[in-house]
Amino acid sequence: MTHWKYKRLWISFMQYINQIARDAMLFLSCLAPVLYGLFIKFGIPAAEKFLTGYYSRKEVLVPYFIIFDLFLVVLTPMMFSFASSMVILGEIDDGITKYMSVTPIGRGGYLISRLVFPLIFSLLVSIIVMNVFSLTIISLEMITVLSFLSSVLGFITSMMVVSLSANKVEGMAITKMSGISMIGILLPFFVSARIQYLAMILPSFWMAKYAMEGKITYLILCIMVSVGWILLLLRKFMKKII
Amino acid sequence: MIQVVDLSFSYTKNKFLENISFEVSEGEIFGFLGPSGAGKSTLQKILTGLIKTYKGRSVVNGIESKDFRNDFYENIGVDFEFPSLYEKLTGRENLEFFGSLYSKKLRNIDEMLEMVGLKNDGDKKVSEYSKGMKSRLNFIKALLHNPGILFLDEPTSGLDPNSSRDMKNIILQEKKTGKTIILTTHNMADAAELCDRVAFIVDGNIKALDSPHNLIMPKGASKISYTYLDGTEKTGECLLSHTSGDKKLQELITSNRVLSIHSSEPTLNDIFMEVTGRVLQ
Repeated sequence: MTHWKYKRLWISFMQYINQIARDAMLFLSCLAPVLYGLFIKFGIPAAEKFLTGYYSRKEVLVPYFIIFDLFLVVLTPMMFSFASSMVILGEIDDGITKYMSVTPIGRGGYLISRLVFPLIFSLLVSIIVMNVFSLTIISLEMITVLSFLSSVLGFITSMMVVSLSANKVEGMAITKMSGISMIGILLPFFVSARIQYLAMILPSFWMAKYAMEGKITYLILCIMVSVGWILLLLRKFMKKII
Repeated sequence: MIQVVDLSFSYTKNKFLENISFEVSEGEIFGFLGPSGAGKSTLQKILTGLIKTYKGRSVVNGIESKDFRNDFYENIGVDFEFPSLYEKLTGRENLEFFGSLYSKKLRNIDEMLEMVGLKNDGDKKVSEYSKGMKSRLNFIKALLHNPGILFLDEPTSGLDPNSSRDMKNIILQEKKTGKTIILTTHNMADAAELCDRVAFIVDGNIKALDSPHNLIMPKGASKISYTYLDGTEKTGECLLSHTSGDKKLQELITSNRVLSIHSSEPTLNDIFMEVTGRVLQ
């Protein structure tokens, strides 16, 4: 029976991948991190070379390379989160989520195949993308932690989009709005005053603080804020998928 | 097979389902009848474990509904009123995918498709199916893993008369194999034909529960109608309980001049109206 439990989860996850592969928009979104990676790997250094020459300065963009990297690490889970949200909303429209609840995979198994497996998958892709395209020298340990945090952020975004949207169109609008939460990445770099802590409810804010200073306290705060968001959204999300 | 005792549930603070009690035996077709919003689908959601926050008892196959584990669904088949299918997949791919979620040996997909007249449409995308074709595919999706208990929600809704007939024949055939079938419908004719027993549900309460025959017969076969030739074709009527007093009828019978004769019993719909004061169709 345990063997079947995992087999079902895998079958359901492959159906998720199948749906993304059959949808051009979702397929391209999942390729976006690679395209962005190519841009920052080759475009940003070229721009830096041009700008240093133009302004006769030693460095122009280099101090901000970490921000490009942070967006890179966040982009992969966000794109997978977008794909998950669209797939789940489509399945809610088609009554699939309700039906899955009365099959042996159950509601829990369905959620694992639509949110947890994509989270793990995006974590792996994120680590690879960061290793290949990162502009700064970050340790594998830091890359793994940041990829994990951003994958959890993607998980939260999926829950938010599905919970608050009535259909795919609304889902796309809310996904765009959820992009505002990325402001949390920029604030620690550009706002030194205490006002930056207005963004303390955003996991991305603590993630950026952790990336900047490497303090374990920021890592713990990021996890705590993320868990808070998950608990806040869980009930509404579960209600939505029946 | 199913025992429900003093079951109550509400989505809000106002009462909805109240003190529902009934039992369903193995191999029985049991119908929930009632108008939209009466609580039929909610009751089905409780029985299938989709709603767990109820009061009272709801035991299916020996297990309380709120305690169902995922493996329990190996033996349950559910056909929701609205099809739950992947539009971008073919009919066959849908059956293969949903079937792959079960560890049981599946029934033959080609035979299932043929059974509901979709043999030549199995490789078409579901998005190209008509409403009736989707309903039929959705129906066999619930049968694919050969479950012991079937929950059918308006299975003939939106079907043409031929498909509806085929569907009802399949339901009766499945009953013969020993399946317990819970049928939710507002179609009285279907219920009268298919169900061993029916429960009238109105405003969250069971107003009556018995076999269609037992519900109808106490009300009496009200009258008989007959036609005869008397120059032109004429019609006569009398109460069934007063046939001996109808001299015209006696005269027609002794002179072999009756062209047609039939009794007209009240329908299940009439009984529903009488018991609940509500109209279904």
